[in-house]
Amino acid sequence: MLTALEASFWVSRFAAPLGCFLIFRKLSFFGDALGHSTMAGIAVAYLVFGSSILPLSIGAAVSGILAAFIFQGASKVFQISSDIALTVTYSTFFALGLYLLSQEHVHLDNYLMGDLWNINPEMLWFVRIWAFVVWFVLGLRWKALWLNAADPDLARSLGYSRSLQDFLVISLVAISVVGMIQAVGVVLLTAYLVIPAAAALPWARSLKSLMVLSVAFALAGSFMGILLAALEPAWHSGPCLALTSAILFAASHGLRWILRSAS
Amino acid sequence: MELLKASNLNFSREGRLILENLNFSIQSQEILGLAGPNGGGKSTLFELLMGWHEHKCELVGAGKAPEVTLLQQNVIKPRSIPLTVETFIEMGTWGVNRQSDPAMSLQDVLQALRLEAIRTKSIHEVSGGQWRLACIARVLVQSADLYLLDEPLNHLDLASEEYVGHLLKDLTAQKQKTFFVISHDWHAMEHFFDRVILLNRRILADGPVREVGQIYSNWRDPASHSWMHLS
Repeated sequence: MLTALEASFWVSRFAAPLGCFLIFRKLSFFGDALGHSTMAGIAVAYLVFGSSILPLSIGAAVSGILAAFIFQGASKVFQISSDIALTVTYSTFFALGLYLLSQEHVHLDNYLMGDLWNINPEMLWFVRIWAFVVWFVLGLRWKALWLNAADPDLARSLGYSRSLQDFLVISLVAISVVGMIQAVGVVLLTAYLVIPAAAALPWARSLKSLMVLSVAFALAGSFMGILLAALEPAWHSGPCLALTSAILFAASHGLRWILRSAS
Repeated sequence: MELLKASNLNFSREGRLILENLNFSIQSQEILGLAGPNGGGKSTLFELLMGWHEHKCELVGAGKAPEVTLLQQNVIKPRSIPLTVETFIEMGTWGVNRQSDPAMSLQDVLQALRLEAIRTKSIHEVSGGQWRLACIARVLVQSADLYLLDEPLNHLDLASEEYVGHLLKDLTAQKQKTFFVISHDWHAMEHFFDRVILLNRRILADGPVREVGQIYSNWRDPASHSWMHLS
């Protein structure tokens, strides 16, 4: 259990802050779809190179970025709304990934719903290092990413490229998916990406406090989820983590609503 | 000194001519007004000056290309984002490649626009007028040669209008800044602006505010208040 707790600690540290940018860039659903889209790349990398982290990460990143380009291109070329293009693209990539993995008789449950109990040392090192990489990049591009998320017109007038910032966030999320799949599975990525950041919103007074609080909510949700999953060995970690995160989200917004009503 | 000159500027969107054969220049250290009916292309002209659209004319700056920044007509409050008024204004200083001096420091602009009392308040707790002042402040802390302000006086009470007008005057005189301002407030323009351009797809008049205001009054149909016959 200690390994599971440690892994969720590191995953919380990189996933929740990325979720903050997705929320304000109005890409919450896109983040979830992007996670699903990485499945194709992960499957191809797994079939060719096995369960090695580096090929899996590259496969996830390439697949996620490719899906983002295809959905944007399809939306423009075929003149269909972006939500239709996004749904078709991510469903296709997700289905392709599942199809390829099922051909090799891989246990899909673990990919779909997470498996924190059997995390291997290589993955543990990946999430440790990746947590630092994400914070380093966010620190380096802090202003550009926030401007792009909060006020794209101002960002443009101040000389920042919107597509470059979006590409950076998409790439970080796509690679992060590799670590998140182990914890919550590809179906429940929002438990780490979006729910903690959304739960922190009522209490944050600044951008920095929002990021810190989102990590705190992610940590609390995942620790509670792991404890819940430990009650019954057959339970997957993903649904337990997603449920406890959702409970914290409801408690956070509910308490804020009560306090606002009382004042 | 001429800061920027546009010659034979045309712009079409989806086959419709929005701006036709515009010729004008902007002198440095002036407050130039831009007036005209709704849909006459004023905001589009500002977007062209920002370089946001392709157009069939080179805008020539004197020497190096002037750095331009824009206050948009409606700055939408980013929903649920946790920002204090101070941080929101400070975001204007987060630009890249800005070498010249800003019009004002953060502290100066908070003082000048009477925003000190609400500097730590959330942007979601301030009134419409205070929000507009914060938006003006965020433009003034930016480093630029030319400040494009699209209806900055909207939502402001008379007192706020007065000190924003005086502030722009002071910045042109003391900091060598130049403002190009869209306004429908002829009273404020007469008090604070040096010159005004009347635009309705084409430039209908360009000159001192009082003279252009007279043209505006004569052209406006007293029965229907319509601008249709201006096009």
